[in-house]
Amino acid sequence: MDALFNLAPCYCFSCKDDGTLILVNEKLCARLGYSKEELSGEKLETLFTLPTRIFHQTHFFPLLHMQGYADEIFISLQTRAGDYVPVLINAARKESEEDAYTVYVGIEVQNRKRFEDELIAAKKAAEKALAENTALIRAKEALQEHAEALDSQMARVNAQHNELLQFNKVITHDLQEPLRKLSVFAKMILEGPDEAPQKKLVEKLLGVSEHMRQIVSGLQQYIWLSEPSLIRVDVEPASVLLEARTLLQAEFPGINLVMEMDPLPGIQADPAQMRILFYQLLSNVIRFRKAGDRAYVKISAYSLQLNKFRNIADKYSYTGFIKVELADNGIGFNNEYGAQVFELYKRLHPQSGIGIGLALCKKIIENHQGEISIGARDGEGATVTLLLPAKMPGQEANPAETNQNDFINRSKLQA
Amino acid sequence: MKHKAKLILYVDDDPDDREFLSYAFKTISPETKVVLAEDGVKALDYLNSTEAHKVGLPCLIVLDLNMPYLDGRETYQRIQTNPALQNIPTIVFTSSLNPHDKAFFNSLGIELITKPDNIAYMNKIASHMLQACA
Amino acid sequence: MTTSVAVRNNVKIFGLGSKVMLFAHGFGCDQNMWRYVTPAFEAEYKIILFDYVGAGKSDKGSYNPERYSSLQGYARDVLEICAELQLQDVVFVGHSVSGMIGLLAAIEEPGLFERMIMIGPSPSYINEGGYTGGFNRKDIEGLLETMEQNYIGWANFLAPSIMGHSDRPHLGEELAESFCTTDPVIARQFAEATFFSDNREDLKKMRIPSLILQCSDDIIAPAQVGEYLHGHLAGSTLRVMKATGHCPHMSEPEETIALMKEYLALPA
Repeated sequence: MDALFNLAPCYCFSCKDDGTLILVNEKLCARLGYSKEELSGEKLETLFTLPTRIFHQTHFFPLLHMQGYADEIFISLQTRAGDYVPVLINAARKESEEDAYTVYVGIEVQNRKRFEDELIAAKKAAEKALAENTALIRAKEALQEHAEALDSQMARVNAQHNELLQFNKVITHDLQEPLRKLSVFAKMILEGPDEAPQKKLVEKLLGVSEHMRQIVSGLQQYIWLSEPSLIRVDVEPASVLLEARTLLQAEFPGINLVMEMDPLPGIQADPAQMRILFYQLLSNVIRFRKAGDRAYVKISAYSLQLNKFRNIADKYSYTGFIKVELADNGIGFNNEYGAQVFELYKRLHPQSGIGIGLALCKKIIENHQGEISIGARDGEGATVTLLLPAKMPGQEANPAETNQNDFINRSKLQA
Repeated sequence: MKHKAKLILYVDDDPDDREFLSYAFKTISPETKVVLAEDGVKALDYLNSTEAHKVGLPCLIVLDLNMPYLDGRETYQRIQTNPALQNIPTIVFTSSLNPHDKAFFNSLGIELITKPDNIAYMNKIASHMLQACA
Repeated sequence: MTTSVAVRNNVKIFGLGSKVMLFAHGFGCDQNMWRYVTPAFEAEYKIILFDYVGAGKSDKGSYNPERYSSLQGYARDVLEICAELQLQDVVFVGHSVSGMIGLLAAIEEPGLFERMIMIGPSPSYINEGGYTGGFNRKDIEGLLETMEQNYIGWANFLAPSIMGHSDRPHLGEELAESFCTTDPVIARQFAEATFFSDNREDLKKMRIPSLILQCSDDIIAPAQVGEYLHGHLAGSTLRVMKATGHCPHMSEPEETIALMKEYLALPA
């Protein structure tokens, strides 16, 4: 029996579950250039090339473990000198009370390897010819460009449709309401006592007309932001945030806005729009703080790789994005109504002002091909998450004019 | 002949409008009680509260449309999910001129009254609403 | 065109608990690799198994080479499964490259996960400068070449025919199953995405606590890799196993289960 094992014209070897070789036959030893003594006690993987070791660890060993056998597995053994020996293996694993062991039987397949090599060479040549087809390559590039253009078009269309809905809402309700009130109060004054036009009613009139002015001003702002700006320069969010805080401290004297900022990576953006964005977000932190004179927000950011295509399915190109999170500890809101906060003039709290701030932020982020979302818990604060592309498509930077007055006028909105 | 005083629930986030309509009800029918809710959520809270069951559910719900949290449509839909509240008559009272709103509520058999720009009409409107009271 | 994610990724859900444990296989085979480990957690947890697109019994037709050329594409699979099943506070168990896939998913949506268990993970497989990944670039290129050459050999994994193997009665009902089914072209691309990946810069973005199970004598994730990970991953615990090789959940399931249970008993 021993003779049969050793003289068999094939490779036979066996090992324990931890990989220690138990038996190896003569043909194997001769082919690989080891003596039996040298191999006994060694690990199975000594016989394998590196790729086969990886294959064994990831596929071959688990398969044997689960199935108990594996047939016609093509691996490569390694001679002492480092030459590859392509073999075809059948293996079977036996479990017993004390231990388990696996038996491998194989034949060398140089000829088959030659056929396979020819097949693969032919396949590669065909693929290469196809790949080198210049017309095809050009078409592929054009397709890629069109896919990008289409993706940004779709984003634009979606945004415009949403804008239209917003405008419609504003015109059919938000403006109707104060207009009607103007009429109601004016008529009340006319029908009242002549000599003493009721002061209270006149004050109401003024209040209503001021409200309308704010709505129209907000609408102007919204429309202004609908024209996508092509200005893209390096912007440091940290300095924008500090500028915004200075302005807000003037607008809300006595309120201390505490900002805890992690190091924030630079972005490529329109600086004027970024100033509005961060001004609005910090303004919300102050407005929606818990009772008292201290507002707190933690700002963190990091870079990540995401799919550049946000609107088309099945197209993938991974580029750099920056994720910025602003987490406050204010009164929050019920997350159930969260989707509404980005609508124009939607208010979830009396402190919301006229409810335009977040709608503007959303427009600004969309102008930068990014995304904005907000999550909150009632009574426990809100977290605004901004996703901005790290490097923006579009024109190269024009040095942006920092007209301070311009900024103040634009950003001092009743939010 | 009903001896129990009528109760109307009026849901509107605008303080002026709340004042106008409740004043109108007070003028034409002082024994009618008007409960005011600032928004849909507060309205639902009231309808589901024990106070409502003690005093009795309203005989009419007057609903504004554009309110924070839950708008008029949503509030109405939520009321409809409660079998105890389903049959309370509802009138929508809004300044919206949006034809879709009118069509939506008419298709459900609900009247939509546009808020007037002259409070002289309020009494007439309040009177009309009272008649809808069950 | 829109297949449900649960169907696309061959998702299996079982277990009596309510807390979710999501198992992700790595490069090599499919969700069947977890079969010796999941029984220990079935009573306490809701277990979710899946195959990445291209592996096991997933819908191969959904494979998109652009998407899956990066580990981000695989992280998407994980996030899409969590979204469709509306999972929360997930305990994520990832083998091999799924350690990093889980990391990328957790960086994008940290709120989804409670903690991560990584078995044999590695942030980068190629030696560079002072960093020991375990392989030279040429080694990986050799692997990919072998996988190409082995195309026909690997086709045997596609659908092993069990017919005619009546001499294996111990398999019983499981005759109908096929293990480790892999499309060889997709397997090669998965290997390329895995072994050329470098996630060392991403480690500092991780905000979820993790357990690193480092095997002894693992050529694919050697000891230096485990130490590097532990040194750069905040909130990580490193346990070195007695198990050797790259698949302790197959070769030493009891030790794996014991270390997992010990970690899970600690508060998050």
